[in-house]
Amino acid sequence: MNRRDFLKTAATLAALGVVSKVAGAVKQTSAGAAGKSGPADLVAIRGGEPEEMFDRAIRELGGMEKFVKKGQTVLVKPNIGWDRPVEAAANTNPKLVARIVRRCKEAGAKEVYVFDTTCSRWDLAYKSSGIAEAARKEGAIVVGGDSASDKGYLEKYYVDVENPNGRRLKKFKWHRLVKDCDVFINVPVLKHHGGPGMTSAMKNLMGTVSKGTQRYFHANDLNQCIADICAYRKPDLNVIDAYRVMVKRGPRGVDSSDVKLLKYQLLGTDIVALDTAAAAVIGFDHRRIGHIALGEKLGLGTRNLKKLNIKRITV
Amino acid sequence: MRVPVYRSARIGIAALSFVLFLSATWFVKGYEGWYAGQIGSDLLKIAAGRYTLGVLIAAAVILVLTLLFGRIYCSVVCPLGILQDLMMMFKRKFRSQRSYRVLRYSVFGFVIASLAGGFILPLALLMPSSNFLMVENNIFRKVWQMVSEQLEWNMPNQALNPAVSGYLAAWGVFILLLVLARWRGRVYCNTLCPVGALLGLFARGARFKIFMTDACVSCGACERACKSGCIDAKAGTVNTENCVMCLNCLDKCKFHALKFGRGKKKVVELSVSRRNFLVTGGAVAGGVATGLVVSKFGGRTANDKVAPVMPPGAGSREEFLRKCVSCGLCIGACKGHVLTHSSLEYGIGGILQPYLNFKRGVCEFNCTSCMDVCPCGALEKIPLEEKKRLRLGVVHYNRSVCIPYVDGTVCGACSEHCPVGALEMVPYKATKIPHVHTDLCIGCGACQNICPVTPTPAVVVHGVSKQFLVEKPKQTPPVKLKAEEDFPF
Repeated sequence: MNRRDFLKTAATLAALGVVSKVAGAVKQTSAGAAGKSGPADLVAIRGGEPEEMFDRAIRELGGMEKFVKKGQTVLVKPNIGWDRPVEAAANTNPKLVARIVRRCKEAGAKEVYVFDTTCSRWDLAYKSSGIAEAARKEGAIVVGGDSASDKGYLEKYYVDVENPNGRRLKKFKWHRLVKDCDVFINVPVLKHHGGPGMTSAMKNLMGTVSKGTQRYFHANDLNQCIADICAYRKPDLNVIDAYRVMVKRGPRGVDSSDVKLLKYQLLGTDIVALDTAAAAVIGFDHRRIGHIALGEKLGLGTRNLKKLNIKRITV
Repeated sequence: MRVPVYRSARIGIAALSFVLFLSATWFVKGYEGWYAGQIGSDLLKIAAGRYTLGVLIAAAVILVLTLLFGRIYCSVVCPLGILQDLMMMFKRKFRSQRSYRVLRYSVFGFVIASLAGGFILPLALLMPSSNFLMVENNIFRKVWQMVSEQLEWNMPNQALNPAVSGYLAAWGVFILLLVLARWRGRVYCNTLCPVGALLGLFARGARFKIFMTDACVSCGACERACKSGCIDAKAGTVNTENCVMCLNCLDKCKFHALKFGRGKKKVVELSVSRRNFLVTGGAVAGGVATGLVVSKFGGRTANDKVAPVMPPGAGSREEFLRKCVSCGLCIGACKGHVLTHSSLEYGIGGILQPYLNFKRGVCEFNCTSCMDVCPCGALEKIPLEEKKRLRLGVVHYNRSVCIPYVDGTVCGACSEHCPVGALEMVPYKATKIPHVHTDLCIGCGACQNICPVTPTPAVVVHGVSKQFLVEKPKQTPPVKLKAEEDFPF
């Protein structure tokens, strides 16, 4: 090594050191007090429109390509429970669903399905939520989901599965799409809920079972059943829409006084941690929401947010 | 052989109108307004005072056309008439019929008198605009649904599960029609059908009609071809009162003796013998008596505990039972699939009239379909914003079977589905149980439908005997959240 080369190398190394130090400092602030490094476990973002927040947040998680590989089939499972307008925040924001579908397609997904077992009649809810139209525009296949009022037409898509991990929910009827898809993306909306207190990522999976199984849920310890269904197949990615949040009289809501514009979005793979964070966003104590603790007991994730590398972004 | 021009034209128009009718009432949503083409329900709607301009015009056009051309309505508009024509397909020869005039006016008198007395069921079963729809909803749609399921065609929203009463009534009508049509052609239209009787009166002096010229040799070819039994070849008369203008006879006459045009020949005179007068008068009196007796003793008393829930816009029980002709257009249009034919829920006076069965569905909050389509004026059109506050019934909560109260687990399904916030979850021990705000409840049945308790849900909706508007849901005070400032975790 001659002097010239030595100097060059030294300069490069010095430059790298400065850069890494600066980068480290950035990460430090964003990772909070815990100061963990590496890719984020949970991304919380606020202050923007649903689409831009999603695009920014998914980059922090490693990009859509990390979750969706070429040629895979993807199921996007929003909450399309109610025949209510977008402003009522009873359903997932259609813009967010559409953007997720687009990113899945861009990542090379073969087919992207959108469906939910609705509470109102499915055709009415699909229409007034705006999700069916928005998702179709991006090339998604929108599948009707309501085994009760369209018996014969839709009921056959729900298949029997056994759930050895479940405590109360040993056997249930599950939608074939959730069983067969390669990638399962859970896109709930954050709401107050008269029953289990709050509906978010875990409770949203109740929309993958048949209407009959939903009745079973309610009759056989709802909180335990919600935890059990999450134990059967955990979503590969959860995107919690908290852009508009129904803070009371949920999950259907009565009028505009129930809705607050919070402009939040939470992304991650740990469904329990996400619901714990979501409870904080909507202003509830997560210890009062039974299924979150039960989910932790089943080993679905952690309620201790301090253990996680949380990326907080304000747009 | 001559080309049967008249007959082909009639069949073409009839086929078109039959397909349009089925489309509007079945597979194409939003065109139920075309039902105004049915004179029977139009007249009921006008009598109920809930008509629109379209209904008035439609009724006037049909009556004027009948005055001009006879009962063309019965051949090219009436779906029940066209159905009978389909049933008698390939039947070329009809036995000569007696005149059933006495029977016909007795039936007509009985039906109308019993309607006036307050018992609408005889009219509901005999009027084409209601009983055809019963056949369509309960037989055609059911069969179609079964077929499409078997063949795995993906057809959403075809399901229309018939109620037992509707199913029986529909098959009864269908089999009766089949027997009568194969036996004597359009004998139903000329004896039992109240619309046929009414239009027959208008058609008596029809300006343009089928008549016989002197070329007739009384061979009887036309008489055998006539499905209404209105031609008397010996006497050379055509009874325009019975003639449904199928035009089959015109091409059958080898001597061109039958003509369609302005005929002046031989109107069958209206002779009423004392015997006939007494029979018909007796039927009218009997009808009034039946109507009065049934409406007085046949209905359920206005006891809310057992009352069925009437569709929105029905007003009061008495009013609804008098006006609704049970056609089931609302049942077919109901988005919540909750409306269905009743059996004895309303009592004998209201058999078949629709009620809300919450085992089947819920009265959808953002929907006014039943009121929009009601063809006979039994349901008043109430704007959506008012309908959202219209009390059809009221919820009764039975704590002793409620899951959170009994098991101590979490449920809240009823509160979740309540669109007006009438069921609030309040703390009870470690869980929450519903608390009913009766003043807000509209009786849509969302809670009863979703309640997981079987067989009798913990929340049950009982109908009210008079519908009215309840309070608006209260605005609740806003909530302040930490998350508005910064990340709360």
